[in-house]
Amino acid sequence: MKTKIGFNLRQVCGENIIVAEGEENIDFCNIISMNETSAFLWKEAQAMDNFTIEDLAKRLVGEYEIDEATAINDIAKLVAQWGETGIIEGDDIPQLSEKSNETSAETKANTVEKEEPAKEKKGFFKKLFG
Amino acid sequence: MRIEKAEKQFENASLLPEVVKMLQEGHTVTLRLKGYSMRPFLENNRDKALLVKPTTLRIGDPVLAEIMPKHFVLHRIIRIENDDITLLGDGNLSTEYCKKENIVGAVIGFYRKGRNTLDRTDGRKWRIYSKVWTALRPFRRILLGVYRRLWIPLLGTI
Repeated sequence: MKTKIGFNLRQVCGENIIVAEGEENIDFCNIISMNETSAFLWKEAQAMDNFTIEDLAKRLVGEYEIDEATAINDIAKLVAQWGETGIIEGDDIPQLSEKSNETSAETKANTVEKEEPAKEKKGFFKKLFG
Repeated sequence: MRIEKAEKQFENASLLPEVVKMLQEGHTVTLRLKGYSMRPFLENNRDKALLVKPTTLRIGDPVLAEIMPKHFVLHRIIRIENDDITLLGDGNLSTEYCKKENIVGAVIGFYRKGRNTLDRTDGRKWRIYSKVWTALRPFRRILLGVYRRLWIPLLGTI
C-alpha cells in the first residue's frame, strides 16, 4: 500500500489533522483527525514508498511499548480505516473485519457514483434567473 | 488506536488561522460555511466557499474578515472609506467594521447544496441575486422573518 499524495498532517490547535491538498486548492471541508499514534504511523507510512502492516508494526514496536502481535492487529484495523477514508491506495488494503465483502462492494459503488456529476435539479435561483 | 471518522466537525475558529495561512501562501481554500448570516443564498453547514487571497476590494464583494482577534465572518462589503471597511451579512440587519488589512479572503464562488458546480461570484446568478437582495435592504427584516418563520418550515431553504 502507499499513502496518497496530498494528504499531509497539519497541527491545528494541538490536534493532528489531515486535509486534502490539491496542487492549488486545499479542501478544509473534509478533515480527518488523527491521534498521536495514528499520526506517527501516518508519517512513517508517508516516508516509505510502499508499506505493509508488518513494516508499520516494526516502527510502532520500536517507538512504543507494545508487543508485535497487538501492534499488527491494531494496525490492520487502522489501515483498513485509512483505506475506507480513501487516503491510501493499493491492492493489499485490509477490509474492516466486521464488514462483509458485499457491503464493501456497495461502498465502492457509492463512492464511484459520488465522483460522477450528479444530475442536478433546477435550483431556486436557476428557475428565477434562467 | 483509532482514527476518528472523516468529516469531524471542527470549530471554524480553530481552523481559520490555518486557512488564512494557506491563503497567504497563495493556495485557494474550500471551507464549509457556518452560521446564518449570509441567508438567503447560503445556509449553515450546507454550503461551501472557495476562497482566495484578496486583491482589490470592491463594494458588494463577499469577503472573509477577521473583525476581532480570532473572530472571523464571511460578509459582504457595503462601504469602503480609505482603510475602513463596513460589512453586512446578507442575513444580518446590523453592520460590522474592520480595517482593510483584516480582510483575509476573497470569494471565487460558492458550492451550494452539495453540488460540484461552483456559483461564481462573477457569474450571472450571484450578480443578479446580489443586486436584488441589496436593493431589498429596506425590507430585509420582514423578508428574513418571513423566510425563517414561513418559507423554510413550509418549503425548505432556497
